[in-house]
Amino acid sequence: MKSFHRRFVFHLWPWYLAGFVALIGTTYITLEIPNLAKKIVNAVDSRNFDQANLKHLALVIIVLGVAQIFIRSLSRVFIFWPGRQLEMNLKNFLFGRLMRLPESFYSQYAMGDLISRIANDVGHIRVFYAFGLLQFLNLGLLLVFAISMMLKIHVMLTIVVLAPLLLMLVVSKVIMPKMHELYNINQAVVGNLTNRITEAYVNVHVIKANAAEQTFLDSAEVENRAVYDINIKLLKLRMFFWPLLGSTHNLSILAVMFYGGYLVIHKQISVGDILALNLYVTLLAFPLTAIGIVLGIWPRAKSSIKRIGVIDEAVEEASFVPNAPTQTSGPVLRVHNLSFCHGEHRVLQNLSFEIREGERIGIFGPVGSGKSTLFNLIARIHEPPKGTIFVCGQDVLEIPPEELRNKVGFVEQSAQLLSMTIRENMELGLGRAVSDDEAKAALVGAQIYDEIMSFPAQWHTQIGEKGVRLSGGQKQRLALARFFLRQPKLLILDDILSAVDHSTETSLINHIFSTKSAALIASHRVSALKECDKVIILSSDGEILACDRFATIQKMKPHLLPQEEVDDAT
Amino acid sequence: MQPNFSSKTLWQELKGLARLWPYLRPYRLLIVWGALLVPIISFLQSWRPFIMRRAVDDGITPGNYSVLINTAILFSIAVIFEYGARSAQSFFTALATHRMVRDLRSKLVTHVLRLPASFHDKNMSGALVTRSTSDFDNLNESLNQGVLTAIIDFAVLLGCVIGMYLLDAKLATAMVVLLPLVGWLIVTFSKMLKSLMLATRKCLAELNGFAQECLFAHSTIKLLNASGDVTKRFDNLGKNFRDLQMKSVIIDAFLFSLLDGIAAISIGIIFWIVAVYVFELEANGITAGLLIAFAQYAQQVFEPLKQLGNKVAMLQGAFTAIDRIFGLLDEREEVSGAMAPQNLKGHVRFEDVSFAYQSDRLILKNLSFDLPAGTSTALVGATGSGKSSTIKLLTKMYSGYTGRIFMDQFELAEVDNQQLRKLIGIVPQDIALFKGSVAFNISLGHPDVSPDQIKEAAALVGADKFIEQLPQKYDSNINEQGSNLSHGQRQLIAFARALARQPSLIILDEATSSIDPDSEQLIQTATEKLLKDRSVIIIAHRLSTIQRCDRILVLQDGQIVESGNHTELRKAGGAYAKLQAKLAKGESLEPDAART
Repeated sequence: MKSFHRRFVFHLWPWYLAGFVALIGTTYITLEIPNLAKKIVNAVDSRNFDQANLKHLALVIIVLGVAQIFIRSLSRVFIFWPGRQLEMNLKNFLFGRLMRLPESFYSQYAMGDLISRIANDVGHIRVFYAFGLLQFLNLGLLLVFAISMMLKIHVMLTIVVLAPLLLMLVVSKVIMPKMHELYNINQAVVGNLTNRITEAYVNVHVIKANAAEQTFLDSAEVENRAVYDINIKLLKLRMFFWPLLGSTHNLSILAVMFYGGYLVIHKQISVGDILALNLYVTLLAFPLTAIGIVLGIWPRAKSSIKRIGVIDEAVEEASFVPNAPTQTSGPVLRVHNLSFCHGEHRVLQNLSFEIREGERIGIFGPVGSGKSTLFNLIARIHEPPKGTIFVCGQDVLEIPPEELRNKVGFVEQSAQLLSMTIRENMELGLGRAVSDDEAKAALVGAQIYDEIMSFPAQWHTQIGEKGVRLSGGQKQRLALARFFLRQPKLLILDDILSAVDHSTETSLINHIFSTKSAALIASHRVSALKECDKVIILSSDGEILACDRFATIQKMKPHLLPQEEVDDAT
Repeated sequence: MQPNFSSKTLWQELKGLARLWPYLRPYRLLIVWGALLVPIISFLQSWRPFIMRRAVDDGITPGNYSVLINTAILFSIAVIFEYGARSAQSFFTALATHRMVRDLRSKLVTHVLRLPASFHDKNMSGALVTRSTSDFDNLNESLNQGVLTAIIDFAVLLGCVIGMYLLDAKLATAMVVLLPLVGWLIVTFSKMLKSLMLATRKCLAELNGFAQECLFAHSTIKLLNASGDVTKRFDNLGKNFRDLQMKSVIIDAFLFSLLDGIAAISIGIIFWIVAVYVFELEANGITAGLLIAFAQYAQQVFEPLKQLGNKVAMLQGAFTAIDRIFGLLDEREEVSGAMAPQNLKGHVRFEDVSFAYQSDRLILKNLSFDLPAGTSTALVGATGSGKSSTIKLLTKMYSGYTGRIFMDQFELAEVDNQQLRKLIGIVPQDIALFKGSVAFNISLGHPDVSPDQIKEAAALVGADKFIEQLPQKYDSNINEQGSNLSHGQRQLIAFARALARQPSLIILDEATSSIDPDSEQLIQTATEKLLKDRSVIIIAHRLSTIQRCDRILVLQDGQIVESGNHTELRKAGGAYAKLQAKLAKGESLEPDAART
């Protein structure tokens, strides 16, 4: 917590200081106006005045009113600005960290939760350091100065006048948590309703085809009624609470008028004091009743600081042996006695194999045989055990992640594209500009050039919600094109050939084999596996069943190979 | 969405508001009660300064205790009654709007599910969900916080103005002159704020969207060494957001301070006028009590204006929500026939059927065929040949064709849609599973599907084996989209679903995308079982499936180019023979099979 303040808040002090000074100015003016008004009322009441002086007093009130508008504006701007600055710095910091945190971190948190930490929690923190702080300072100044002015007029009267406001403070302390609780339930119930309706609308074709409309209407109606019920509960609380705010204020004025009136009759205070007190009460009414709200801001911000702390404290991925000498000798990839578990579940068992420079290895196995896990370990998305995976002769754990990923190009099965142009997606993370020719060559190699050129903006076409929606196969081929620009030592393709037709597949494989990269290709297709120098067959338990030339496996253990559709035809 | 004050006249907008009336009607008594309370609230609030003046001028200044006590009692009564009236008023009106929203939402969801498939094909489900959820929340909030409180505010303002004139016309005029000026300032600044806020929200959506996208793509980003690139982009988006926010902070700060300072300024103005006429105080009836009462009004009269900007925005919000909700309600529901046959044999006949999605390009051209009950038929052909459209017409998902389609002796147009679909079991390409138990996913809550029928259907397609192995068997919960099941298992549940109602006709749309071999095996076996002795139509992609059908229809450009069984057509050496050769090579019939 301390380090949070030191890193993100303290350096903003000039803004806060300026805001504080402006607030003092505002408070001074606010409290001076009732004072002046009081003098006028007393003069009128006593019929004892000097017109020039009265006019002067009235003019000063007007001038102060105008000045107040500007000084108060400044105080708000000065205090809200650092809040916004803090929000931006914090978001940037957290996002940057998240981008460098390892997979093991991500597996602990739901994506929505992480996004909520960046968006909502940072928002809560900002609310405290802007609105909260402002209210807090404002209230502090008002309380000290306004109450001391009131006390100067009459001590007992001050106590009586403030009593209803303090009572309200207690009431809101009781009601607010209840209201919050109901709000939370409300959110949850609305969430349920949204889920139900989304499910029904997304699958509307299926529901229609099965004439099952009524079932889904009924379940949506249940949630609809739940939303209504909770809304009514909230309504009851609200109708009791909100009008009470105005009423307690009026009770204070009642006290001013009548207890104050009694004191005027007894010559302890003046009529003008009644007006002044009325104005003071109005000044205090809102901030004092809102104190509950303001006090609620800090705990929320505190828990948010804790929640983002998780992102702050997580360990970034790095090589375990910093500055280990780079080795370039040895096979491109050597896997040695690799076993790996996902929790209790054993995914890979005693895997050993090698890929030499320029060699192309096919890999085949049923779903759940651990291919993707193996690839993730090689690219160190998951952390492999020490001494099991070597890239260019060096344990991947000792290679700085960035360098490792320059050497190993891993095209995931569900490679992601970002909402940028196609060209920007290609250059993402490349760290250098790409010439048009180079980009074209990569796209041609990935067999997607013609499709992209058919878009109106060609490779400047925006991808994603605001632009074109690419099919799964197109996404994979574009993702592959990225790696043709990089020319890694080892190219890993995780089943990305399954979504293309056979002639495209052939061209793709030909292109991959024409590059200098060694390749590790997972596929279900005989046609792809046949082209590889060697084929590794994995069992459903993640064991190597065979590692040999395709022809040899076909001859010796044909049952291990995937069934080709050819068989059907005969 | 746009804060557009000009495109629609206020009158039109109010007419939109009137469309809510049929839904509010049942709760009109609540509205009437709420409305009756409004003038009472206004009166009680504007009455208080009068009591204050009397207390000062007749009680305090002359030192008359009984007047002081009387006025104190009156004041207390006014405060208590105002509290009661405000509570009750907000309760009655909010109750009415909550109920209306509940009913209207119910109606909308029902309506959306009854809209034709052609509508759903053109509209994103996300937008429809927004219509049915957050638009209603907006409507509710806008009505309660905006429209209804605006009415009270207006009444209170009116009450205050009347009260001030009753007290002193000259001073009242000075205040009333200020009102429109302040109102104008508020509305102008609020408009600026609103458009800024829209821009800010857009910027925030972009920022959050990008963050979300990058988090989902975090491993890809790592594999590309692109953390630095995306962080830089995020920083820029963040800076844009901050700058926009700051602009609205400045306007907002000014607006807030203006509202805060205006009461003080108006008190200053009134006191200045008093100072000018100070030598005629007696003649003008200006007393300390009057000044205190006016100061009280100065605090009250601007209060309703403070939220004016918000109210205008809220009102806009209500109009927008109403527009969107009723725009959707105005869409035509699908047309249904009246006949509701309880049973069919599954004899399908197309007579000269032509169909186009858009008027320009015919998808089906004079299509005629006759599929006897109890036989299986494979529809084959490339994408766009009209296979799916044929099925869509047969299940009445689309209408607007020419020619006639018969199911047994019934012409389709005359049959009730829901009843027809109950009698047809469909297995679509994309399998949809719902949150709920396995049993629910098979029966989809049809009351006439018994637990035994569910089990029977599961057994028939061979799904019983894996279901029995689940921890709670048929009561086991399925995750969203069935992520705890394999592809093959999901497909089997879809098969069982189609069979559970013991339909007269089964339609199977075979999946094109390649799947893992285990799942493939499960599906093949189930398909075989399905084909036996039933009326079945299959959009087929697998040679093994096609071969097993009694009859094959080869479609090309919306016409049947060949029909017959596998052996006949292979011998004929026509279109089918060519397709079959392609299939045998492992190629797909679909040129765009790459799309998943």
